[in-house]
Amino acid sequence: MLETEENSAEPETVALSDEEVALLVQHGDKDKFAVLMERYEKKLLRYGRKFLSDKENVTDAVQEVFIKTYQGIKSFDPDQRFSPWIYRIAHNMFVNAIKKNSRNPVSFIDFDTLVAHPTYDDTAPADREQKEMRVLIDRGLAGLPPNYREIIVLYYLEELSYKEIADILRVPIGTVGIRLKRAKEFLKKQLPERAKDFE
Amino acid sequence: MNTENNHNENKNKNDIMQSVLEKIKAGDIRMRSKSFFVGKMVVIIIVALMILLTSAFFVSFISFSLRASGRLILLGFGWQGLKAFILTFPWGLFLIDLVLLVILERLLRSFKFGYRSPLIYLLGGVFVVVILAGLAIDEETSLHAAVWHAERSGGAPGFFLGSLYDNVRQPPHDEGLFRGTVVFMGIATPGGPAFLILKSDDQDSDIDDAATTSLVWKVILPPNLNSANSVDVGIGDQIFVAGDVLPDGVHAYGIEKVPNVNTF
Repeated sequence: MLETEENSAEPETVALSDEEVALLVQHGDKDKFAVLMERYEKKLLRYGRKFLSDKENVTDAVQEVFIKTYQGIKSFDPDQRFSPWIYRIAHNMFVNAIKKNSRNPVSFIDFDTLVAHPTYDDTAPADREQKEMRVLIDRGLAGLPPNYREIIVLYYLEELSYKEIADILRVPIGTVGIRLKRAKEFLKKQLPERAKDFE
Repeated sequence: MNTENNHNENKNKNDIMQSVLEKIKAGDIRMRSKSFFVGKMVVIIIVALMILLTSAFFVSFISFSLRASGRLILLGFGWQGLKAFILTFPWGLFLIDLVLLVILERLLRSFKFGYRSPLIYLLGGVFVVVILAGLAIDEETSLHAAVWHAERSGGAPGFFLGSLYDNVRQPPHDEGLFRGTVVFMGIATPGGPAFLILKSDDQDSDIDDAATTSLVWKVILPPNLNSANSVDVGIGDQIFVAGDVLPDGVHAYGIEKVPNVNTF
């Protein structure tokens, strides 16, 4: 019997962490994979919609993410956090989708990772900043370059920490801080143009 | 509108979940075994080590060839020597080595210590390790001398490796660097400067060619040296000479005795 939304949320499963569920899947409990999909599907769809420019590919891309996750589940170390791991798979999938569909592919050389950057304080954004950024994000994200778009989504919408984002993007932690700073500045500069579109 | 969006989202979710679960149940997608990933990591480590060793080998070969051909001594001969050194440096091999280092850096990014470090630190660290390893191979082992001897007697392993050692000891005459044995020393006269007669011999060249092995050069010493003795050489000494080739001979700007390590 296939696990569905209605019966995958058994009380004992709800109490399990992502890492514990992944461990069960690794040991052969394939049905438990539905639990992981249930927990991450909405997040990954949101991440994909904000990151990819072609919304029609998001569903296919997210499906591929889950397929790759299942195929590679035995490479996951349950002592680490599951969330950055699956987001890493999603990041790779979405970047490949952008490369396939874009005339201006993601740059091969990542200049932000060339040198060390000061590590910015990874304080959770204050409520007010969070609300302001969500407004800016809704209005201005499409005009950002992919690497800025992604970091804004991961930090403000997916609410991941600098360390988690560094592990997903495979960049130094300082690079996360500097890229986020630049992304916010870029977004704010764009806002006057975007505001005109809505008049 | 919100209800319709929520409905579409739920439909998408169910489609994705159902599709993936059906594929799992049908066996269309399977979990890869742990040994697959362990094996993949082992392959990456082996390839990285091979690249590291190959890169270090190239560095050691560059060091060996600079010593053996005498090009290293050019660095002690001021700006002229530096210019000749830069022109005769094996840049092709150096470029191949750089490409190997870039590949190695990409492989190291598979590991946390790799991607957590800024690129310049990672590349710089790898570069330093490779340089030190290469210099150690050249200075502490007789690997290249052994391969050179094997190549001379037709026993060098592999075509590429053998061709690498072709003319490795040959100084670049076109850039004004020569090696030979002093066969005559002339003192300065009112009519002319002090000079040496230098003769190349079989030991100096990799080319078994009488035209090359019997070369003789007149080396004219700089004006501030009024005899060959002032450069502390004598008849029978093997020396390197760096100079400008003119019709009346080689006008030397640098002379150095051949170190013992070059005779192998």
